[in-house]
Amino acid sequence: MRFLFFLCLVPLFSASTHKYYVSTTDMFFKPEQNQLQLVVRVFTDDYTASLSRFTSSEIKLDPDQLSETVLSKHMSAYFQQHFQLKSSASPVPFSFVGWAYKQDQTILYASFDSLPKMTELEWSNTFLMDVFSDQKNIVLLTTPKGKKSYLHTRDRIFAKFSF
Amino acid sequence: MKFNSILTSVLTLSFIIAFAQETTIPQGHTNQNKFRQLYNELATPNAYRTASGAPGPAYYQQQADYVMELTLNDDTQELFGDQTITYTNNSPETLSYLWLQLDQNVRARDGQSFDRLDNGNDYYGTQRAVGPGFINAYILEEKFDGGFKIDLLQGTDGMDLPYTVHQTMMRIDLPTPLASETSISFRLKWHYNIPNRQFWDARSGYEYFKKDDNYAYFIAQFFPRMAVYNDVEGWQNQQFWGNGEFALPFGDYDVKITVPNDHIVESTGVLENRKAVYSSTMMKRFKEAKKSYDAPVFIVTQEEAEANEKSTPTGTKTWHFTAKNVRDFAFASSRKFIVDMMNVDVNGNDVMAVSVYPKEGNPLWEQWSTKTVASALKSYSRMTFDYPYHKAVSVHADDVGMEYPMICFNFGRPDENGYYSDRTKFGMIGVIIHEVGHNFFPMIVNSDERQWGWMDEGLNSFVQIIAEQDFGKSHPDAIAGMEHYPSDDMDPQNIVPYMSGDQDFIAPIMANPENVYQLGPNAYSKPATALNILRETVMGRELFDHAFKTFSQRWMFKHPTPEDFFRTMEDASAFDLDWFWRGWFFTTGVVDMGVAGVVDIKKFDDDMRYFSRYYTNSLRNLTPDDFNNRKEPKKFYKVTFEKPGGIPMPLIVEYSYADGTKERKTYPAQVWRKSDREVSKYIATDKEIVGVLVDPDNATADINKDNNTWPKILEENDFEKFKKQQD
Repeated sequence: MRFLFFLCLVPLFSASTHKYYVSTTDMFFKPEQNQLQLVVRVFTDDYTASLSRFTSSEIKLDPDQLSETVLSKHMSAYFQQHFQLKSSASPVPFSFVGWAYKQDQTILYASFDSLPKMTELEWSNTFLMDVFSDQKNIVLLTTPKGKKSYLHTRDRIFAKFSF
Repeated sequence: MKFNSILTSVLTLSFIIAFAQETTIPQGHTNQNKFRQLYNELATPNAYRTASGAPGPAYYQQQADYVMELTLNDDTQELFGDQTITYTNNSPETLSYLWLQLDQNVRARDGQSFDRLDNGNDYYGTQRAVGPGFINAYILEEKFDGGFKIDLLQGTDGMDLPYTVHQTMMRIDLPTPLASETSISFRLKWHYNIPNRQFWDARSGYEYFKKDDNYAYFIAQFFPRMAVYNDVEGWQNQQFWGNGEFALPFGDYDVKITVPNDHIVESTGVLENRKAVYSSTMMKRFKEAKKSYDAPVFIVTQEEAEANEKSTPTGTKTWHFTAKNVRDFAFASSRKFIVDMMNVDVNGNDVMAVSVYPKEGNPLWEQWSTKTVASALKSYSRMTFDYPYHKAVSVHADDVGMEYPMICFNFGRPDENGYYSDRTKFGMIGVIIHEVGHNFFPMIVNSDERQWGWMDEGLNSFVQIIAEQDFGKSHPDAIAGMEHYPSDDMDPQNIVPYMSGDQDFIAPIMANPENVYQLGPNAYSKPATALNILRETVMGRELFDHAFKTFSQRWMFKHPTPEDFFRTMEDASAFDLDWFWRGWFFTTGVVDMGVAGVVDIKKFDDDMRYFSRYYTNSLRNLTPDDFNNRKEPKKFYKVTFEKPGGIPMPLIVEYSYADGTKERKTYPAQVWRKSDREVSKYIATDKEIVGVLVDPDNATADINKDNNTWPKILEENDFEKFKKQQD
């Protein structure tokens, strides 16, 4: 049964579609505000599948079937599970700001606030990897010093940036 | 003396050695200028394909004609074929063997197409990484036996022809070599098991509808067909692995399709025996449809289709289609089909727009499909040439978008309650426009898809933008509430995430589709965006459209290569484009331009000498009167622009002045030709410059806007913009 579920999620493979298992995340490190801002872009179909599996229920997005409050709670929990900031101190405060749809993508907005003093930034990104073993998550980190890109895969879920 | 001379020698020697270690010997370099011509990258022009990008005096192409009798077995989901191929060798060579394509073999039990996948890195393949072996062993109750079974292969003399099958390619060794300007005919009988399209993620096959226990067949890649033989590849016999599509010669087809007598069939080609296969009601409605140019007319209504779903056939019917000068053949057959048609006036020619769909496609399909087909035909014809065939059919098949001459299979299905989101609707309209557009590229401008995915996908996706915008304007109710049709590739900013991503996972457009990462952006969006930028921002519509049309018309019903496209666009416009093709198509570089600084050099003495030199030189040639009446600019600025990105692009600048006025200036891309990283412009003006903005309309796919303003404005990032909205 599990395999059939897998196969049902087979993407549009054709001469005209643009499906590929990649998500892109913009991470803005703002030392003045002590904040790490995140903008995650995922394909809505893939995200729906992963979110459904996470909540063990059938989630439908764009249009949303559940209320904004309920969905927000689910999405926030999912986000915190799949994007974790390594911190020696107690867990860093997290706010899930919201989401929007653009064509066939869902854009998620979140931030880590009141960042403790750190010499390096280390995080994990496992978005959608529970559903797609070959999922690739690209993270583009912007700091006051410049930009750096990282690639997360199932074999490489952590990434680090040293100041 | 001796001691002194030794000391001197030693000192001199050490000095020489030290000096030598501190200086490096120049290594030299070859021409790396970004504006150099593509002589090394493009094939040398020859008598087959000229330097101007046109077919040359020795240009030739082969022809493959097919006469086929097909039988579709609705009980066993098998297709049987008896075909005669007539192959004409128009090349100057003698051919001792022929290659045919057996695409169904990609699903043969011993197929290797799955073995080639890197399960860790292959985006498309991994979900099917399990492969036929795994599926056969662990999932299916009975092993699926895919691939062609060749029952007969004979010459016209009735003698068997020797052949060898290597996966998806078959070589026929000719007993008598085929001389130039001669033809050969041979007969093949074959059959194969039609795959479940969705299960196998195949471009063709059947869909089984459990609720009413019916099948819908979307049949393509269904017959052994000739491979292309040409001056560029010899035989294009690269294996069909799944991503690289098809290279096919033109020819005439005569096809008889035998199906259950309660099936509705639509296909490539002219229906020769419509009266024999249509009921009298359908014939009457068909005649009505031919008179209707504004609204589709049902040939088979949903009510009738639903009743037909319950029928049991009492025999078979044979539908006879013929097609001239097509490169492929496909058809759809089912007792579930609803059919509607409308006539379209394409620059004085009548073309029938046809839609075929099961009830699961409604209400979306009856509302938009045929109208979309009609609109697409007009838009593409305007950009290239008048659509030359007599009809264009859009068939609804779930989760697929695939093109064939005169017929295409398209996704776009509402849920069980008939509800569909905007995303589903625009997805459907977009895919129909795209697949109908494929009639132009590659069905008629017949490029080698196996080698260059972008030549049809990229060019088609580009014209799709224009066709979608046309559709939005002529059908405002379809885009109710929006300013214009939401075209993915119209906004250059949309390609930035892909282009600025990890270089390990980006391939240049000029790469074989089988070997690239992220095939979608690589072969569709990036070339489409690049061509749109070329049209809107670099060449302008008039020059671009003329050159694009010239290319399309030069190569309609012929086989162009990328060289022919690149050369024609330049040749017909007097626009040097090698820098553009090199940056966008041959490299994975990015666009990033900005303003580094603004200095009023009348104030500072450093560059004052430039100002005085230019100024006094001009003054030297003035008459005394002119000299006395001369105006001196109040300000003389040196504006420095930087280009951290690799791709040179036109530098579009908006100057803002203290009096509130703004001025726009576009410096052509050649401004970067000698200095790839930084250029300066001297601006003489009476107004104070208070702001400089590079690329004000976001027209160049600039990946970094942080350096685009002077004085530096820290633009809000996407997170901040969104948060602002929420609060």
